[in-house]
Amino acid sequence: MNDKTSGAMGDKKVKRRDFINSTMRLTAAVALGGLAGMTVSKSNSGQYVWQIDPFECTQCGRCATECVLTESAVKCVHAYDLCGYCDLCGGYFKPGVKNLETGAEYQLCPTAAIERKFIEEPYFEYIIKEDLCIGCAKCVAGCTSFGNGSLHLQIRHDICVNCNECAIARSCPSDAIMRVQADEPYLIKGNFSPEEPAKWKNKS
Amino acid sequence: MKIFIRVLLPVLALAVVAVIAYDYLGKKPSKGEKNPYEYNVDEYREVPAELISHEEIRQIKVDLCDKGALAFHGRNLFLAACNELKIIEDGRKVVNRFSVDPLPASIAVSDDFIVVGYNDYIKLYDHSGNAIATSEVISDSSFYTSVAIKNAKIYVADAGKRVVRIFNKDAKEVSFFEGVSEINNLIGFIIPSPYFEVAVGSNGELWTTNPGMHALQNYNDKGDLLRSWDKVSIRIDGFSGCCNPAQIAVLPNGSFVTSEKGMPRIKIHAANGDFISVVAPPAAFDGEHAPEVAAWGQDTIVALDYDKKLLRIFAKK
Repeated sequence: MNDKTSGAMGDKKVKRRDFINSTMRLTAAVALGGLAGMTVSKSNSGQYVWQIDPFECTQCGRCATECVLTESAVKCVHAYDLCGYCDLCGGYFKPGVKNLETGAEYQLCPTAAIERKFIEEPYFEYIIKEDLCIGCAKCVAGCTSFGNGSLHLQIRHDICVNCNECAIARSCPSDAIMRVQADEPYLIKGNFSPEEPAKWKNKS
Repeated sequence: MKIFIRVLLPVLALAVVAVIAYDYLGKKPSKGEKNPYEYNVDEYREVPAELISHEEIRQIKVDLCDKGALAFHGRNLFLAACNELKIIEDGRKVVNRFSVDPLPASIAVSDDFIVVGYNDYIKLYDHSGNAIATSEVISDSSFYTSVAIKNAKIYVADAGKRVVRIFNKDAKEVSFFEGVSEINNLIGFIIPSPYFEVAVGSNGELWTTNPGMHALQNYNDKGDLLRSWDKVSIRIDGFSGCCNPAQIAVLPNGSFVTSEKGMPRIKIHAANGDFISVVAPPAAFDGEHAPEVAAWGQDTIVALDYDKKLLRIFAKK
């Protein structure tokens, strides 16, 4: 039997040449499709960037340890219009401090990346020194628990290299890291709310 | 060469796959390493048993719709939540219920009427549930967080404008004060987040919180500061964070029930601020929200747990 392609559809015979031709066409179509997909993907990567939803962040510390960059692209930012300018700031002081002073032993931040500045009695301003901030979220945890959450993390796009697969996003336990449009790359508290823009949505 | 291809190459390939899989799975959230930057307040969550004066005797599941408020009057507990006000006799049996506007945030009850506070207005009802009067919205930035009644006057804590407003029975504002006093150089109420309370003591004295200063303050109707105390500490004898105590109630003997946010705990402080005991330690709560509290006589404290959506009743041991 010379016909190697006869089978259940035995009356429909396919020649070797036709088989190879159709396989080549299929391969070309797949390759073109792949190329188109890569092009679309490439253009999307220019339009979208990674960002942290501060309302989903659980301050797990991985932004400091998982970023592929030596200096994490994640930094703490401060929504000043939400801040209470508290004397006893949960984001600045270690829990249980007896004196509200600026010595390193009283500071929560492991790199002393927050500057405390007296405004007027009893208000203090807290300024993030970005060159020192490692994005560990310790201050964010303190502020979120004991303050009103004005300190929060954001991916800084002057540092981020916008990896195709963000290493922090992959390890984020709360799926707080998402793609956002590059022309609105930040999700700053106060400008953005998951449900409604009211500053004080509910008392509880 | 054949051995390399048939044996070593597959082994090598398997090893590479294993390393990649380990690396991938090892960084999955459930198998992650400990957070080296953990914010840990566990040592402050533990409370010695001898400091705990109350035990939980009952829980009642409630539908809160994010907000809710409670108050006692006589034997009855008044619970306002969603768009309904329930009157619960002896903390057990619902004896009456009626509709109120959606999302009540605070409530106070007198012999004559019930006042329910919403974000920026108050509404008075008679005990049958008929609306008597509704206040106007005074300011777009008002945010009412607490109401109290003394005689025929209604005191409203406006956290948005940082003032205490006084209304009459017609829900008309008659005056307000800002908590400014030369005593202690008070520059006004410091309200970093929407936690601001008013309460009337058993002798008719008006108490307010000043949460940014971790203080309780007693004012007359003109806004003159009469008495004040504060306790700044994350330890059990004080208040920590930006805005604590977040909720208060006054016991018949003049001492205070305080409820805190951040690390929720309910405590009793004497009239002069001295720590007395713990009603519910942080271990009794799951979230970070401060439960609303109301006092039923001297020995029973009722808490509205926003995280667990429970009405929780604590009785003295």
